[in-house]
Amino acid sequence: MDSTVSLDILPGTVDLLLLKTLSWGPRHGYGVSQWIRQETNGRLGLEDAALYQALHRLERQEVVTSEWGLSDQNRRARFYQLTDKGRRRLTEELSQWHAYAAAVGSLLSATPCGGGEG
Amino acid sequence: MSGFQFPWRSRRMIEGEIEEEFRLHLELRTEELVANGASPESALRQAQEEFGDIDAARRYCRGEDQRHERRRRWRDTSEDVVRDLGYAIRSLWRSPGYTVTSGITLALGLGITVAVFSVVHGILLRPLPYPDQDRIVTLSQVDTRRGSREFVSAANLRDWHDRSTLFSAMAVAEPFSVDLFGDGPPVSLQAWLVSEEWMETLGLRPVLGPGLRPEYFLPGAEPVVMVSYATWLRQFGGDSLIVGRSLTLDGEPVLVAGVLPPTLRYPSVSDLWLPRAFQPGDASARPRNYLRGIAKLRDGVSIEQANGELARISTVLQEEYPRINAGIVAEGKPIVDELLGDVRTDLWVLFGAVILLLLVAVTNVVHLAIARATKQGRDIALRAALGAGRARLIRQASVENLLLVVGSTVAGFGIAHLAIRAMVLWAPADLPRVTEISFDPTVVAAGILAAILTAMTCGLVPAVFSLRSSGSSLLRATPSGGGRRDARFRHGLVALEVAMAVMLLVGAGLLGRSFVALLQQDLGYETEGRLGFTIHVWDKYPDVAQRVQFFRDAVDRLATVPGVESVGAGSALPLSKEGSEIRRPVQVDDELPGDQPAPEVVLTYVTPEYFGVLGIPLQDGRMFQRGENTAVAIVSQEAARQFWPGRSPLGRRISLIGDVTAFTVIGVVGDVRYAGYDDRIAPGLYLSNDQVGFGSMTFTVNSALPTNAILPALQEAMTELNPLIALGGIEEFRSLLGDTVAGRRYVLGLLGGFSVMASLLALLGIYGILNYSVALRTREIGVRMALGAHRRVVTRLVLRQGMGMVLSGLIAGLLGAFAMQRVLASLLFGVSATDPVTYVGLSGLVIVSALVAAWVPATRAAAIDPAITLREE
Repeated sequence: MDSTVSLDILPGTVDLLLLKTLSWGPRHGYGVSQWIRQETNGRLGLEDAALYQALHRLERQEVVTSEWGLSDQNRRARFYQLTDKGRRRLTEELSQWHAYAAAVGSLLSATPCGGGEG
Repeated sequence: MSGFQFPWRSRRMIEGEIEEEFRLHLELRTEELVANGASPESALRQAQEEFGDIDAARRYCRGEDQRHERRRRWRDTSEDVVRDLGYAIRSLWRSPGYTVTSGITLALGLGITVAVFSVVHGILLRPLPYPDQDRIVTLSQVDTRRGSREFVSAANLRDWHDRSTLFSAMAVAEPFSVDLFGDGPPVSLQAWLVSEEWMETLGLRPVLGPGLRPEYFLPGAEPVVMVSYATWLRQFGGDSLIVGRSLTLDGEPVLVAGVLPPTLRYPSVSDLWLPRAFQPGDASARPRNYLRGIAKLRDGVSIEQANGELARISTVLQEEYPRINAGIVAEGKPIVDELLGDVRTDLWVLFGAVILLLLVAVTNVVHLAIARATKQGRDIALRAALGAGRARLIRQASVENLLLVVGSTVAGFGIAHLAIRAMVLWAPADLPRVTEISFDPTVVAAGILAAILTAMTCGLVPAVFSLRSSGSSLLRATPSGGGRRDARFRHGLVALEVAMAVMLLVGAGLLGRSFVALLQQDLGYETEGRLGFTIHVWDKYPDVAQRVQFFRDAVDRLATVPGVESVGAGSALPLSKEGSEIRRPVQVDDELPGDQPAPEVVLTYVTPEYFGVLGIPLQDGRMFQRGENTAVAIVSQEAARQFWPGRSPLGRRISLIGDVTAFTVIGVVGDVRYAGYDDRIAPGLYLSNDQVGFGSMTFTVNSALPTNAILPALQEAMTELNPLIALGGIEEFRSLLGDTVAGRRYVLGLLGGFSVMASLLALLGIYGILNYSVALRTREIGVRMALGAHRRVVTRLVLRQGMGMVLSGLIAGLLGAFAMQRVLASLLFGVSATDPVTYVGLSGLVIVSALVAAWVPATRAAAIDPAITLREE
């Protein structure tokens, strides 16, 4: 926890993260936040405010729906769930992300070649 | 979409949910940190830090949620609408009989209502084209001794004008006719000579030119003329340079001072308007009251105040001119009354009738919709039981009817458009402002309002009704046709239809009987094949002897035209609008009139052929002869009866008051209804024009040839006698006579049409409801018949049910018509508004036709086979 390296998150990545989180089943906002923090050891500098904004935005885009239900500790909480549209979006964005990551990754690990002489 | 819907969320609910969500987050995080060993204060602080800008998040989330909510609402609603519409279209499509019947009924009802409203609006409701129309009055001289309302004389009007203070303008118009000389033969034109303030009173300005300037009314002023808009277009091709041109009127050059607007229609649409100064002769011609007077009240002056002042002035004038003005009181009347007068009752009666018709149509559709809804009752009950909300069921039923009404309204406007054109086309010629009838925005708005009310009635009544009766009972095996209460309600609707139809029928029946009674009146003269035209020769032959000679020659010459059977002439002809009807007080024998006012006669100067051409029979004595040279007179039977009761008028003497000559009565002729069938018979006095030499004579020609065929030959003959004379004011007596009854025929035709339509709708209602009730009671009837009821009993059962509705409706309708008699009375002629023949006859007609309508369902009921019916159940 002490060695927090704050990583500024790339735009659009939050949505993808949320979709991924929700792909395992309905979760409330706190659950999502908790999961991300645990998985990244809190290194991702994602404010909860931004997380909730993204959740509500995704709901407006109808890729997730929300419903009030009871949490594990029997407290009333708002649960978010992927819709069919959300599932499709996740698949799409995942493949885009992987293609992007692969492309950037290959560039970053490349060695210079003699293309200069043409 | 799933069937279950979340309730829509309000803004406050949205805010509350966001608040709750954030609070829970902070609580859970704080708890977690405390569990990990942090102090509560630092835990909360850390949780808040991790959360970030909570206010911005609140605002953002609220915005997103609201946008989402709005979209969801819109989608839900439009999905519902589309679903309801689809349901409605399928449902209407499945029952084409109902759809077509209701659609046509509503379209006709709405269309005709809109058409009649457009007429009422165009004629009665829209303001006149005169600014401050409420302040414009027409002036008349009321003869308080005779109780008659008369036109005014120039001298009287001038005195009212000069002595009154409550009017801002006052003017007279004198009828006139001039011949316009141009390239071809002279054209006879109608004109009004108007005094200085005429246009100011009506508030009209010329569309071209300076108009009638004050100097044109000074003695010795240059003669000028104003051209009416229609004449400007027709006669002068709309020439914008016409102002300042010189026209030749009656052989004299006259300068055109301007063109008047088309809105100038009072006292009548006319060709030319000329200035009329107060002439020296006017003062001595105080008894000559044939001028039209108008005036404009000063701002804020009531008509009662103005009439009070006129009455005071009139009293003074009575003292100043005791002989001429005895009993004469000036009186103003709003110009609207003068222009619209009798038409108002006619149109309001028609409007009332068409509203009744619309109500019958709506009632019929409501009742059809209820019958249909009951048939679908099980379907609706099922859906209600499956959880469809009441509001939703009402909405579905309403959408269906709404669709029907919208369709009918569109069709109705089409019908209205055609109906308006037909009504204008067939309108009587004297219907005022008929050109102003149009399909304008107000009419459309009124039509849409009527359609909305109709839609609400047709949609909500059946929906509420079907819900009320869609209790669980309908889910049981067989619908028994709703409860007793519902049946009563439906029967009440049919009775209501019958009642309204009967009211219309009685109205139309009374008008119809009036019309027949009217046509049976004896006019006292022939009109078939009679043609009239008027000639003025005062200025062409200033001498009496010349005029006498001219008219003698003219009658002789015209009689030789091929096709002419006979010719005669008189200063006025019955029905003719061109002649000069002269009413004059007379003195009979040498009796000096006491307090009684002198009796008044209709005075006509005639040529000897006059009576023969018109077919007015001689009752006693002899006719005029050619060149009659002693002072002789012919009187009508009515004059003989009034002036010499029980004695022979022959050889008696009669003289015009203010005239020294006493005329000896030589003959008695038949009475004449001058203005047509509904005119009262007035005493008539005929003098030979050979003795008088009156210069404006209306000729009448009896010919079997059509007018167009003989007119050129007549004009040619006249040109031979004097090339400067134009045949003016051509009139066909048959059409003149038609015009006199055109208004009645119009109202009768429309009212008759409405009542027939309403009756057919009511019969359809009777038929429909009995048919339907037989269908519902098939099992009951089957059981009865299985238990031994005779077919006749069954028939009677159905007929009795039908007759119950008809009789209660009939009684209500007759009472309603009876209550309306006062409105109708003014439109009737020769028939009482409570005429028993009409009431009894129509009752019989209604009962018989209702029996016919009920017969089909009754025989259908009797044809029920109990075996089949019982097996089916």
